[in-house]
Amino acid sequence: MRMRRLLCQVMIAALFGLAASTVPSPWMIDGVTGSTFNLIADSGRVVTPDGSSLPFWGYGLASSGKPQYPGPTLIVNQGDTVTIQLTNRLAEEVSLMIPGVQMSSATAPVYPQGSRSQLTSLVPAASGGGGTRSYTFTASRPGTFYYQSGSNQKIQLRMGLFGAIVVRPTQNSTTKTIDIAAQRLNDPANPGVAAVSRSYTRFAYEDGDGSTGYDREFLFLVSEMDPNFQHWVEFDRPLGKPFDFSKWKANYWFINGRAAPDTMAMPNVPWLPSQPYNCMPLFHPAERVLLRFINMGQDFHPFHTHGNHMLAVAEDGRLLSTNPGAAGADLAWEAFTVTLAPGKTIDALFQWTGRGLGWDFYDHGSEDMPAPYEPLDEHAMRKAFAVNTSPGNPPASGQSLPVIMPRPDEQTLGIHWSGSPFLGSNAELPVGEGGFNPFSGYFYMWHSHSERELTNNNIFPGGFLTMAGVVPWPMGWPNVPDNLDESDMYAPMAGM
Amino acid sequence: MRLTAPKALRIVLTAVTLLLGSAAAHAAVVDVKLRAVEGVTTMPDGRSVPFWGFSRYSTATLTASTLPGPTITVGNGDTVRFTIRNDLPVPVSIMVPGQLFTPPAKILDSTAAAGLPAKSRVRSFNAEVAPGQEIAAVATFASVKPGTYLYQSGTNPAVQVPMGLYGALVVTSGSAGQTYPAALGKAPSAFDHEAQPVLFGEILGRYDTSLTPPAYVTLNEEVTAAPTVPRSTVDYRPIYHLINGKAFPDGNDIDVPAAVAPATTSRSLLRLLNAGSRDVVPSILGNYFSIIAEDGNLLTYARQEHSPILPAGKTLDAILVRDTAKGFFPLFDRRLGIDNAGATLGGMMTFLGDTSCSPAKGDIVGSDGKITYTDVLALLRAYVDGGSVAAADVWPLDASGLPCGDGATTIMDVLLVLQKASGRNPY
Repeated sequence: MRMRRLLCQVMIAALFGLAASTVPSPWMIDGVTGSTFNLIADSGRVVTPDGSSLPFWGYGLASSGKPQYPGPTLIVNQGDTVTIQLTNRLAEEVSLMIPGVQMSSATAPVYPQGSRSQLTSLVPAASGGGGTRSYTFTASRPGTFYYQSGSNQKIQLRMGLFGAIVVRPTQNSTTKTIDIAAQRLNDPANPGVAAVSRSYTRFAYEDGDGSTGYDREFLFLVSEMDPNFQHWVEFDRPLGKPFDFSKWKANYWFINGRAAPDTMAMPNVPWLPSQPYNCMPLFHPAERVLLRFINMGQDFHPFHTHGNHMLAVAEDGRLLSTNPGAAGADLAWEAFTVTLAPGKTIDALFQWTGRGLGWDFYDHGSEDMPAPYEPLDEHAMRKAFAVNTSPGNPPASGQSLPVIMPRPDEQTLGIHWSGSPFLGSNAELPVGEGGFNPFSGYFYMWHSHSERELTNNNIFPGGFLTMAGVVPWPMGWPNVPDNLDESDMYAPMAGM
Repeated sequence: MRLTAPKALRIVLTAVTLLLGSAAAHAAVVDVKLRAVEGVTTMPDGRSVPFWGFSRYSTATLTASTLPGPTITVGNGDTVRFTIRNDLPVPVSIMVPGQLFTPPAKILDSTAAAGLPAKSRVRSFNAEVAPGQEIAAVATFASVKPGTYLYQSGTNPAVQVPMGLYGALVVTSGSAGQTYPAALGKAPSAFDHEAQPVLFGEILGRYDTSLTPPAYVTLNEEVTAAPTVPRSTVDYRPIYHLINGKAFPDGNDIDVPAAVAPATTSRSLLRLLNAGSRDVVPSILGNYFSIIAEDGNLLTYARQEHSPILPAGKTLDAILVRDTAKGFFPLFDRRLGIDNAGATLGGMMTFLGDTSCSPAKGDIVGSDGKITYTDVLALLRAYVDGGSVAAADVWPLDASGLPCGDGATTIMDVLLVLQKASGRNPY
């Protein structure tokens, strides 16, 4: 096994080179950092995996000159004074509002001639055809927020005028050590699990005690579209024809602006020019993964992870504690399906532990039993790591898959089949099967539990789903060469 | 996010508090006389919408019904007896989810739906009042518990609730300035100001493009004809989204005052109710709701949310904390029920804040909803005469751009109103 691992690493090096990377770091959400952002609002087209494309209106970076779906993720630091300068290239007025923060720029709603019946915008707007407007706020609290148009929202929010804001906490510069095992609330199988101390330097919130520390973070900004509505905006609205909003019914669902399977393609792929962000959570076993959920649609979505529960630690940008940073009751809640409500944000921590699977997915000997919450990278690297055998129910040493595998010609294998049910193990693959998982990760679906949402215009599978990958090896995003072809880009594991 | 404090101690303390606190102030018997009758309301686009509603009446004065029905306020521990006079063509009843009552024997309906065999089905959750009848104390809710509740018809509710037979029942705590009796280990529910309840609802049917020409097929008009067979509302898709029976821009801004020095904060109680069939997400801009109670149950800890989920049939009690800065907070349904039959902006939208900062200030002649040169001339005349016009005290605009005024009518007010009349200052 060691030989194979080495070989793989050599292969990565050969394939991508090990030069300093300018692409997103492996733990951080894609986006733009800073405190001054120049945005445009314009129209573009969203590409869907069924071969269609739909018109959208989106915010974009003025430097790129084009809108994107969703708008650029703005990443700022707590305490920053943030200025967003909006240039509106759409025909009608567009504005920008951020629930949960107090603006220091003007907030008065737009009542032309003071007329209540002529309200056009909840906040000051940039007029159509090149108008500009500046919005300023102080990011006094960390957390997950969003910006969206405050003008003609019935149409503009359905068209895509929204984007995420991440405010990083001040305590990110400090190191805090916590017991990540004790924080699992709902663990009846193993109530007395031994303490697992881990230190973090990245946190979701100014929690004071490190309880929101994480190893990796991923954004899930979800939205939906009714193609009939998008076509109405493109063709019928300019002719003055009405749209019956009571008949609006979503038939496309997006995570970070992409419908599956595009969610799993690499960021910034050339065939999705307006949809730069992907959504494919990749992590090591037992790593703490922060999931930032934002629902910019109009429907509720039940988001489901398999395998382990999520621990929701914040809602609407507020830590779920009565007294953040000091002794207070813990209001965090655990669930395997989280309701994503329109306009709401939720931050949840997820850890894949593999507990209770019934076999030793690590495939280690008895002298090297992994602890229930032990990160495998650490484990694999340090053979002498202290064995934690009490209490708990780690799988028996070398416990094999508790089923008899059917004959190869009776198996249906996914593209991520590595040939072995054990993490980090490869085996010979049947001809024409697998091949997208040379590093033997464990891939499984994260998705909306409203099954109709797993389609693209009624074609299954698609829509609101992605694959989460439990990756046994040290991770690092590769540089993406310009000449990478499409099939390579659907194999993110090739770059791990 | 630390682990919880000793739970046992808290439970004991809570139990003690409950025992001591249950000796409520004088519990009274409150008789509420409601008349159920058809009414007509007008939407902002001019459409007349028939509805079924409640009104409080006396035998001498038969008042018209309102949408929603009147807010009924009673005290903690009171016994509420409903007397109903039914002027609708169908039987009606009253129920209050969250308050105890003794259900009657099953009330069955064996009328056959069109094309279906006759089968008995439950028609009502509570004792009915037949068309043309008046029954005293037809529904009694003894020892009501404090909080925010919906009252609604319990008869064929799939039809009668969308038709408008609902309203808010507020049960006060018995202590001034407290939403709920103070209880150890519970969220603080004290307030300085109680805003009017914010009751979400929706009305009128769907636009049917299969007809020639396409037309609105209205549940309301079909149902006011009182069909004799049960009617399915499975395709009922309302096109008007209402707060307190009104679609924006009709309806009022909701007075939620800023703190007045020397106080640094002011707590306003906002009761949120959803009588519609659709879940809504009341989203507030520029502030957070502190959610202290659900369905009349005080929470242990308040939740800070700017976009809480308010499902159909549910109530939330929220405290809005304000400092001394004056201003307005938009409140709208983030599920985008913010149009009037397709025309935006409208629907479930309102503004919370200081009415003295209303962006529509300056409309002093005829209150026609619009600032015109007539308003400017009237204001100029008042200014020259040395008079004071509070409704046009728009100078200075504060940092938010809102016309909070300075308590005096000056030439600056006249100039600013002139700007608004000419469309040069839309804020």
